[in-house]
Order: sequence, then structure tokens, then C-alpha cells
Amino acid sequence: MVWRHDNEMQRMLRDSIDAHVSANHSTDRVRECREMSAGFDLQEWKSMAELGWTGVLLSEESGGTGLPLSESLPLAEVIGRNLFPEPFVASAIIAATILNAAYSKAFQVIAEPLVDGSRVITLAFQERPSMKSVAEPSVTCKGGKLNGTKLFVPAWSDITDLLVTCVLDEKLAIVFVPGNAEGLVASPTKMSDGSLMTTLKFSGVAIEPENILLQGQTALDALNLAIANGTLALCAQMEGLATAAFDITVDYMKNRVQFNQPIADFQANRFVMVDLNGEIELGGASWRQALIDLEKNGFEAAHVSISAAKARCSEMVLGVTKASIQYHGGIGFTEDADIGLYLKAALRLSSWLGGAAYHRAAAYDMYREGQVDAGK
Amino acid sequence: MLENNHKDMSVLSDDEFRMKFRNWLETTYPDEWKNPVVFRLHGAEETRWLRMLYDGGFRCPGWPRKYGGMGLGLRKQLIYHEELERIGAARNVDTGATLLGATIIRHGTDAQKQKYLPEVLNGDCLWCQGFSEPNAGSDLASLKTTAVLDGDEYVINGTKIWTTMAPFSHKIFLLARTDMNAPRPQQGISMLIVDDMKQEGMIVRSITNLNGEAEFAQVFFDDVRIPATNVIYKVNKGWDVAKAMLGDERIFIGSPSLANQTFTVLEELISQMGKETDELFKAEVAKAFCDLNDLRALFAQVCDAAIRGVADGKTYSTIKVQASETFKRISDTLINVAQEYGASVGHPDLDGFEKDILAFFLIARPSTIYGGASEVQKTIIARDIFGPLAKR
Repeated sequence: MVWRHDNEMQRMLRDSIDAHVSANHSTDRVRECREMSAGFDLQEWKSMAELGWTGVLLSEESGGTGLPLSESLPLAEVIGRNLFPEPFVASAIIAATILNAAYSKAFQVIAEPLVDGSRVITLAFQERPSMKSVAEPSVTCKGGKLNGTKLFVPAWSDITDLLVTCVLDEKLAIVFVPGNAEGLVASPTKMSDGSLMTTLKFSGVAIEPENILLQGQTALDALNLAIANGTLALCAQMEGLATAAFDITVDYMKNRVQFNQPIADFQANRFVMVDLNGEIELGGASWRQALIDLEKNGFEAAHVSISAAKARCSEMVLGVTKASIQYHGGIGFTEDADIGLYLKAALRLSSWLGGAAYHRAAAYDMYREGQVDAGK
Repeated sequence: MLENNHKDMSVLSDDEFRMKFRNWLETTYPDEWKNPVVFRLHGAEETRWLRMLYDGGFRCPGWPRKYGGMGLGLRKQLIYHEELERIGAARNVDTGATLLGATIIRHGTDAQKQKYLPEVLNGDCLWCQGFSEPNAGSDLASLKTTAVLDGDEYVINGTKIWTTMAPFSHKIFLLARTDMNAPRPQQGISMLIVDDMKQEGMIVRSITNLNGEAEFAQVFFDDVRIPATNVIYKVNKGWDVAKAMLGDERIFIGSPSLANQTFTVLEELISQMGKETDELFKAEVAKAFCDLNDLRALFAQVCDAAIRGVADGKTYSTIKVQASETFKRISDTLINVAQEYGASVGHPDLDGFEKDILAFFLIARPSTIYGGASEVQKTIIARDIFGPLAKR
């Protein structure tokens, strides 16, 4: 992966999404989606599937494209740049990573509807506002019944099915639960970007044996890799979002005249934007290096660099979008101005899967643990 | 006759080259210069070190072999620097190789190549660079030093300042105004060579810096006469040469090595003070850690781009700003975490801790001033982002 330069595959993907975006997408659509019950457009999800995006990471056995993560991330970037509300990272990256690890008959049944866009799959794993101890859930699967509560589940909709982490026979397991399962109660909360974050309560939900997808070490590995992949994809999405907000704001600053000159000519303003540009460069470099680390050395080795990347990108995307509001002046504070959409999306993405403060501390803690382990 | 007679190391694999240089450093590098509290080698020490590199066949990695260099591509040059960092080598300015030599190779006459390159290679001649003046710092083009042609000589008058290593240097190259009537300040400037820092009319007055070192100086030129042939490239085209002085090597000014070294000292300090888990400082140290991690990532990405020839001017400015600002911030954290010890002169009174943390803090200060101040770099980046100012 080369700094700011796509390889052939990445360029093809980017061309395909660019063509689709200019034909079908606008900020008007982003606003329309905010009024939809799921916060995104089920029809557009289907179109994305037809373009191969929902199956980009899924292995070819399930009809997916089976690209490595690094080849898939231009999609996340462009999705961020254009504020696509469809749950690409949650479903096509995070859930797909679990499904790839759980290749089985059930996998075919679950994965194919994701590839063709008839269903959305999402991973329910968090139980508290932290990414710590996600491998030790309190949700249990005993005697074929699932009980407990999951928080902060993204991508909930009428066509969403679930992958749920739980404890089964004292080991971590990941089970499949259809969205319409009996005993499942969903309480969605509307988020700043119009998406839903849902609390799921499982009360004796029946789990058929074939729906126990992963157990023990394989479940743990799949969960860790899914979070690692998702975090990096989210970083790419945030970089795309920040870059778009930055460009829109630069354009506005060049055209907005006060004191007889464009506000882009004031050095104080220019330097703030230069600093933010530096943050975008650091964020972009940080996640790209973390990605190299992940694909080369695996998620355990890459934990530190992934957390550092998420910390930087979370802070960077908020920094850029907040400054964007400031340089738009009063207009920036209106509901009509598009720039506000970027800030609201940034708020959601920067906190999802852990915010800056959490990940900075996590990166340093894991680095120190590594030092201790290495006997330093 | 300038040709490098050592084996060509550019044909080795990257790993082979790395191990070869590493082995050489491990057997050759003097212990007393490792991880120095004194950051840089001066004068006779620098000459000794350059001579060792020369004898070992490891001198001037970026110069072509036909001029006596190692002829290494950027990737191997990076490995070269990584290995120096790994062994904890003291830095040396080496203006002769990185600035003067590279420029002579690109723009010098054959006579200049024959005369100047060998003595840079074997370390006999140390160079300094006379660019800044008391009233021409960031605004370098407003420089006032003049060189007037008198027969077959130029007569130089004026003064240069912040001339790094001038007290230890044998020769100086400088920018001086050779056409006083040029329409723009950038025009009418030439790059000139004075062959002897001690020649008549030259006065070097060393300046003690905030860290108590006398590394830089003010240099006075009072009717200093040089042969008219001591012009690099063309008369009145000195600005163009100065702008292009650093090619690919611009990248090394963005190296995270100083920030990295400072963070290592920060870790030692925390451990020495028993503050590893002190919540009061943990967030700050974690921030320093992430800053360093991301700087390293940016440097790696930019190096990759440079090797592929796709790094632009804005990128070099960005990495320079980030590397120096991060170095400063981490040294700030060092002082902050040290609490009362932070202002100790010399190493703090802590058992077994021998790092002069105040020196790190002080030496970090000018990193955002030299080599193009942060404000100048940001102006360059801003021009790239916004285009030129609408007014003017």
C-alpha cells in the first residue's frame, strides 16, 4: 500500500464507487436517510451489493470477492468522504470477518444474503462503554437458550440479522441470531448522524446447534480480527470524511470575503488549516502503517499501532469538522448547511469502537505490556 | 580518480547491506560516542569519525560512486541511518557531504569536483554554510552581504550569523549579492566559496547557545578576496542552487530519531522515578507515545513515497514540521514529568540516571527554527492548500 497512491485493484474499486456516487448519491440523500427508520436506505444497500461492495471481504466460496483488507479500504474511504449512511464497516467488514472465520454450512446460509444485499449482518459484542474485556461477555448460551444484553449494536434494521458473542460451556462463542427471533427485544437510539445504536435484550432466544458458528480460541481470534479490521476500516472512513470536510471548508474560505479579502488569506486561519492538514496526514499514515503491521504480523502484534491509529483518526476527524463549522461562520451552525452533516457523522464515527482518550491509553498500556513480556 | 575503490554495496540486498554496516559499526564505533548526552561531534572528533567511515568504505552514502560516494539508493540510505540510530551514534552535521558536496556534484565544475570532493570524503575538510544574516533569517532573500568583482577576484563584505559549526570549519560556502540592481530580491545572488576560514578579513565570533554550547557563530567578511572561479553554478543564480540543494535527502530532516531518543529517555526517567503507573502523568506519556508512533508512521509512508518518486514539496515541509514539533512536545513532556528535577543543570540527582534532560529540552528549541522555521514551512504548505494569496 503506497502513501496516497492506489494500486491497480484499489484504483478500479475507487473508479467504480466514484461512478456510482456521482450517479446516485448526494447530501440530499444523506438527509433523506436520516428520516428513514433504519437511518439508511435498504434499497441502496442492495445496489451496493450489486456492485460487489457488501461481499468485498467475504471469501469466494460464499460468492464474495475475497479481497484482503488493504484492497478493500478505498471503499471505506470513499464511503466516509461521501457520508454514506449504509453500514459498510459494521456489516461488510466486521461481520464479514467473523463469517470468513466461520466457514460452514450455516455460513453459506448467512453469508449469501449479505453478498446479495437482501440482509444486513451485524456483530453484537459490546456490553459496556469500553472496548476492554469484550472477550468476556456476560451474555450466556445455556441449554440452547441465549440470555443477556448487548449495547451499542450498529446497523439495526428490518433486514438485520445478528452475530452475538456469548459464553457457552465456559468458553467464548459466537452465535447467529435471526433479527426476528423470538425473545429478542431491540431498543434503538438515534445517533447524531441519523444511524441507530441499539440495545438488544435476549430472553431465552433459541439457538439451534448449527447456529453456533465459532467457539473457544477460534471465536476469540475471529472477534479480535473483526475488531481490528473494523477499527482500521473506520479509520479509513474517518480520513475520507475529514478530507471531504477539509476540502469543502478550504473552498468556502477562498470564496468568503470579509475585510475586503477572502478569509483564506488570513494567516491565522491558514495556519490552523495547515495544522489540521498535518493531523490528516498523521492519521492517514498511522492507519496505513497499522494495516501493514496487521497484515504482516497479525492482530496481536498490531494492537498497539491500531489503537494509536484509532486515537489519532478519532481526534483528527473531530478537529477538522469542528474547525470546518468555525470557518463557515454563522452558516456553519445552520441545519441547512451540509458541513454540519460532517461534524455529526464525525461525532458518531470517532466514538464508535473507542474514542481517542481510550485508545491512546490502550496503545500505551499494550506497548508497556509488550515491553514487560519482552523482558525489558 | 575520484572513483570509490571499495566494493559496490548498492548491489547487495537490503538485508545484506544492513548486516554489513551493522557488523562494521559494532566492531568499529567508539563506545565513548554512544548515546551521547553531548549530541554532536565537533571538529577533530568529527574529522576522526568521517575518516573512520571513509576507511571502512561507508562514507557519503548518497554520492555517486564515480565521485567517491557509496552510490546507494534512498532505501539503502535509510537503512544506513537506521543502523547509525540503532548503535546510538552521535550525530554530526557533515555539511560538506550533505550540502556542499551534493551541490558540487550537481552544479560544480570539474576543477571544483577535483579540488573539493576528496577532502570532504576523507574528512580532512569540514564545511559550514553561510546563509542567514542578522536581518535575513526566514526572509533569506533580503540578505545584504555583497561580493563585488575586482579583476579576477570577488571582494566580499558583510556578515553571516547562526553559522553552525563555523568555529570548527575550514571552509565556508555562502550566498552573497553580486548584482545590486536586480529587480527582485531573489535575483542577483551568487553562491560563493571561501577556501580558508582564517584568511585575511575573516572573523568568526562564536555564539554560546541556550544549552551552553558554542557550536554556531557570527562570521564577518571584511574585504575578503576570493578567486572569481569560486562561484558554484552560475553568477547571479545562487538562489536557484540554494533552493535545490537538498534533493531526496530533504527527507532526513523529517527523521523521527530525535523524538525517538527523547522518548527513550522519558521512559527511563519514569522508571527511575517509579512513576510508571502514576495516573497524573500516564495520559501525557501515552500522548507522547502515540505522537511518536504516528510520526514514525508518517516518516515510513513518506520514505516509501520518496523511494517511488512521488513525494512532493508539501510532503517534505509537512514531515519537517511534524518531526520537529513532535521532538519539542516530547521534550516538554520529559521536563513536565521530571517535576522539580526538570530544571536541573546536568543530569538530575537520581540514582543511576545519567541523562541531561534539560539539554534535551533546550536542544529541541531550535529544531523548529533551523532548516526553515515551522512558520515558513506552514506558509509553504498553506500555499499548496489555498493557492497564493488573493491580494498582493
